[in-house]
Amino acid sequence: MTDRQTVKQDGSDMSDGEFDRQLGALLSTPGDADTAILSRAVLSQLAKNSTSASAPLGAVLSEPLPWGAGFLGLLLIGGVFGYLGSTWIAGDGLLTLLTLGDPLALLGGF
Amino acid sequence: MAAMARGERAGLARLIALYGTGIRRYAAQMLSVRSEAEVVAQEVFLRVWTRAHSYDPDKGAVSSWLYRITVNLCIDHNRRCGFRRFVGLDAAPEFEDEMPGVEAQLDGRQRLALAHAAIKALPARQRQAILLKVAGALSTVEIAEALGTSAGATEQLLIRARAALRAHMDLEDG
Repeated sequence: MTDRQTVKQDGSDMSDGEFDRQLGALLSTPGDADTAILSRAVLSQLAKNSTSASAPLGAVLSEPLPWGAGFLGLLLIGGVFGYLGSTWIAGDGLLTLLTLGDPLALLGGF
Repeated sequence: MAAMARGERAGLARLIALYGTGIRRYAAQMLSVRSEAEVVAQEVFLRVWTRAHSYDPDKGAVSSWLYRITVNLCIDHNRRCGFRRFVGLDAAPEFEDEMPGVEAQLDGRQRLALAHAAIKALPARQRQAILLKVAGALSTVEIAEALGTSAGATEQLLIRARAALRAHMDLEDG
């Protein structure tokens, strides 16, 4: 009762529910109700995504040189800016040396 | 949904078992490249997983929320594919036997070709509504929530879509 003749001949008399049911049956293909493959594919994607999300943390241990070089570069940039900033703000006078002297003395300087 | 928001994958597996078939069928009819339905269905559930915490039961049923995501993803996918085809990155859509010829004398194939052609000829909104009904088996209220319209407007879309489909099939039958 799901063939085209039924749709044609009974089309006007057929209830909306019956029409929808027949159309749905027509559009379904054998095996498309099986969601196992879809489920497996989605869960695999999730597993892959969660693995790749934690990868950067692991990269610090597996490839420390580029990360170390990056941090060293940032430290150097910070040092240069700090030096320029301190001389620009306070100048090169005795007062500046005294100001910097105290904290540097704690670190073993002067 | 609560289980999914807590990060339990079993909740997602249950959701796929419940709605996977309907979403795949809907996508297969809405996409310009039918074979992409599986990819879009996967994308829907991955998006559902990442946004499970944002689902609000007061705003509608889970099915409506799921199909709303599906409707939007299908539109995006068609738009992307159209652009890729335009710039020549993708091939033209698969050949579809819309006018049943000698080879399509077999009744089953002919019926399917007729139905596809009739659905494809519908205006986008009517096509969305009728496919949510027949492929997703949603109620009128759920369809209205998925499409962001009122139940009355959805009923009108369904009535017009059914009438157009019946007329198209009768016309093709001669």
